[in-house]
Amino acid sequence: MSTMSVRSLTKSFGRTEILRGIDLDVAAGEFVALVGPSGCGKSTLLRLIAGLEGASGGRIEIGGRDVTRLPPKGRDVAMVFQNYALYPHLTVGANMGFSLKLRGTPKRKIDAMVREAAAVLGLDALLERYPGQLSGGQRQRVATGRAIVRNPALFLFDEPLSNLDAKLRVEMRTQIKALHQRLQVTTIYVTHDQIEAMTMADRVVVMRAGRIEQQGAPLELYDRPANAFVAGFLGSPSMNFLEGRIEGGAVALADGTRLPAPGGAAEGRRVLWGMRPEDIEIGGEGMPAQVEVVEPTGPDTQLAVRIGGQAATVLLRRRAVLHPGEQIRLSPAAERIHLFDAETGSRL
Amino acid sequence: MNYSRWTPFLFLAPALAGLAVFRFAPIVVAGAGSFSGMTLTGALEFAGLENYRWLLTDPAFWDSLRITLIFNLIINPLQLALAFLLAMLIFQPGRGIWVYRTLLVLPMAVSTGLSAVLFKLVLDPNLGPLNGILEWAGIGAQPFYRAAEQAMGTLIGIATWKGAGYWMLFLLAGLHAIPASVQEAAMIDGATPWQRFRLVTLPLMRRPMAFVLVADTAINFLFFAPVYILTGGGPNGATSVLMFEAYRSAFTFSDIGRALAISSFLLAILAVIIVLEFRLMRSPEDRR
Amino acid sequence: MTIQRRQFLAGASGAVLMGTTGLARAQTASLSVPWMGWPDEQVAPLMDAFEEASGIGIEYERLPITELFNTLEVRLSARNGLPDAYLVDGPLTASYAARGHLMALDGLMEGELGRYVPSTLVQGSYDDTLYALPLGTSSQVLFYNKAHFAEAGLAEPSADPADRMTWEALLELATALTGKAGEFGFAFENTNPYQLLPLPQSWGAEVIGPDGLTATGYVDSQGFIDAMTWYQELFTRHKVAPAGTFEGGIMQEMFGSGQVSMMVGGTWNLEGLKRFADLDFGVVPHPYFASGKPVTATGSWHLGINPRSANLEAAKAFATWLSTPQAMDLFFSLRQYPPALEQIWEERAGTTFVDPAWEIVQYELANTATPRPITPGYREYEEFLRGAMRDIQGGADVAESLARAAASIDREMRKYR
Repeated sequence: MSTMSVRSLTKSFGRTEILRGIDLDVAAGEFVALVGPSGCGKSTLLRLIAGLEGASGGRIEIGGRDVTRLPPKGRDVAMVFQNYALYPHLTVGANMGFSLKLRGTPKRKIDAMVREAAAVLGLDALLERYPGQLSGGQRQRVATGRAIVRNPALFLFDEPLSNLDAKLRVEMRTQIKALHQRLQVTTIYVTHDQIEAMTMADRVVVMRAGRIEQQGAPLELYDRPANAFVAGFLGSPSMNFLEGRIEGGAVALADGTRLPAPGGAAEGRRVLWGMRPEDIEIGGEGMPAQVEVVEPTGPDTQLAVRIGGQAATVLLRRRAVLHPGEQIRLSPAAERIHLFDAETGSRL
Repeated sequence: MNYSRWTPFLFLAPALAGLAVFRFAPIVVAGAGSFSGMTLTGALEFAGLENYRWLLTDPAFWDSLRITLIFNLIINPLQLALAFLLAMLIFQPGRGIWVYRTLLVLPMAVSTGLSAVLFKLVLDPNLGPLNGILEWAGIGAQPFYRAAEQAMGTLIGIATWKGAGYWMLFLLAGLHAIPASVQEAAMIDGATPWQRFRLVTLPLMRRPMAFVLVADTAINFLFFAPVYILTGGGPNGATSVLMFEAYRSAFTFSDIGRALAISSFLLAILAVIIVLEFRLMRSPEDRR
Repeated sequence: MTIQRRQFLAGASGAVLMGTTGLARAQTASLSVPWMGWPDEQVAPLMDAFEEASGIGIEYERLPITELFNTLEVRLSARNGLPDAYLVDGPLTASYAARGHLMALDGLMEGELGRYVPSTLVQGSYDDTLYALPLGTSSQVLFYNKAHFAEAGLAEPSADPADRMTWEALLELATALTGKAGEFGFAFENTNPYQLLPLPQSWGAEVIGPDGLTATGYVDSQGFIDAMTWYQELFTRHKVAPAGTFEGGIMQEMFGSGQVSMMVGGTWNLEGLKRFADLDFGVVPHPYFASGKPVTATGSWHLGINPRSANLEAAKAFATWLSTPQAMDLFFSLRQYPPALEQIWEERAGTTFVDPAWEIVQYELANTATPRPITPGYREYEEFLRGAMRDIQGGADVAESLARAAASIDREMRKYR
């Protein structure tokens, strides 16, 4: 269990800048999720931390030790790959014990450690099998097992669940989370799935175009996104953005529809009025909207509506009998309104 | 659409027919022919096991068999190792890599016969440029294919000059087929480059290596053109491989029975050796 | 190999002509005739003359000597109509005839055989029947570079067969010449049984058993071994001769350009060496071993007809034409093989054959010429022996090489027993 910190880290491939100056501190035992759309640099950041790529500039420390120039071998990290990267020619047991064998651990001790890790992950019965004989979920568990068996300073996960089906993904999510709580190993977890990030991580780091947009506890980011990108990236269905102008303490849309707004924004400023779909209710004296699509999912009802000509989503935590074309009124929760600058996207 | 259980065979038929005509039929003809002899006037007659009895009591045959086996025992591992080394060198991209690639692949564009002619000129003990260079370098002229001690080595060298680059391509494809992440996993697991090669790359290359070894063996057991062009089986029988013996029997001495008996024998030992090679190269994960 | 397109077209037009002249049945195919790979200017005139005389087209291929025999073997083994006619090396007559690859020519040449030098008919016969029409015979003489002798201060050898040089004397000359005027003092033109068998024969060794089918005890006899050891030492011990020069024509080049001072070679060099303007050469008789007797190589090319040819009449016409003095005189002028027809000897007696070199040849043909072994297995005999001779030249153990060759020859001879 160690700390990890990254200072002014940059990475370029030729003239393409992948990372444009990353600063990140991870506390001992913390579970940090790196999220962002594909191409944002999150996997590259992880590979730099692992030592699989060299940094173009900046510094990486693990456990207070500068490892920027060290090969992976010298960093005491373990990594779980998206495609698991199991050794096809080795049994499950040998896969898990491989790193120990390389370190010259006595065979009996390897066996004991592998068995222990296998028990944790429910792999006991599979130790003699070869990766080719395992299901996707089993392979994922073996990959995780290979990582935990030697108590590394740092766990790195590179989209470990993205090759699994939805059901298995939820299951493994829980398992990895439980594993972390049990082992308390510092973990950096890359995913493009914001639900994974939100549910598993102590802290979520949102990246875009080689930079960190915002980092913080999952709900903190959810409730107070620093900008429209983070606001839109976290949450499903994602936040509604209606473009308008501040007029007399409210946001006026192009067609004149007025939306409530918190004070403080300068008159005449072009803004994005943000509201999560689940923070809107039907009824009252709110803004008029037209129902376009009704999607009942059982417990919830999701509506696609138009407000002042702009598309928006409403998520009702109940069943509702509504029909396309119906005119309704919507009441947003006033304290949950987010205002962003229309030009820069930053929070107002 | 009507789909009968014979439909797949219909699609396979052209390939199977080709296999039958161009592969199995010659084997059957050779096998049957090895039990017959030809009279001076060209009439075929049944000879039973006579060709084989004659062969097995002929010291020249045993010499030739020994030479063929030694040749293969050296050339196949050598070409495999060299091809592997070249593939590893080329696999790591670097500056000017295309120069190496071109140099290595170039000999493939030259036919085996042509390469033998080429080396006949280059290595000619009197007129060849290589001896000129060796003399200039103070090493002294070498007899190469004109001396019994060097002829086999010369032939192996020529065949390897042509073969190593070719087999390298298969191994290079094999290296590319190993997921980069597996190598990275090994790096993270703490493997040194040598450990990664020995414990990850090498075992994962078993299949392409088995293919190369088997295919190379099959080719080298039938090694012929350079012998024909450079040494004619000599000096003193030093390079008289079985294929050349068979050729001489068939086309120089009109002894078709002996030629076919040698060919059949060659086929049989080749089959045995290839089975052994496949066993040797089988991966543990294949043994289910 | 070279198929002469020009020849082919000429043949086609000849076929058209024939229909009008009524010389023979209209001939649609031209004759397919594998030939020796001599320079085309030594082959084409003969073929052209035949086409002109007969109106029959000829497609000839010039094949290097080793290719010629292998190609013929493969084609004849197919036992079909190709080739129509082909060059037969004298000693191979028995081999081809025994296997049914030659048409008997007795009928065709009836009453004509008296015109031939008798020894040439012997070479072309098998079982007392003529199978291969003689085109010439051959003889070997010693060529020497006069300038080199002068430069080395050596007296030129005598051209009189009575004063024939011994091999021992030649070695002394060669040693004196080597590295002086030329690079090498001496060389045999070729490395094959035709040229080298006179060594063991001169030593007194028999080169094949009386049945013509046994090599062991002959090819590996002590006399054969001693003679070939002497030969080997030319290259390995005395280093007076260039080793490994097996390509056809290379030795004429080396002698002609002054790299080699003495050469034992065939009469064709008399004409062939003329292209070296600076060369002043002399010709003396073939040497012999002091302890033995003078022996010279002989035997030459014959024409054989494939009995399965689809153009038998045309093939016979070719043979008949090649038996005419006109054709044989042309053949002689192109290649200088000692003629097989007595008439050529007579006609050229006052011109060509006044050359002292030809006097030597005539003496050799009458007195020392020893044909190669007469055996149906000559092909096998030659193949293995040539290999052994080349190995010996390269430094291989003489006794071992010859023993191996003898065993191999005997093995392959079994089919003729």
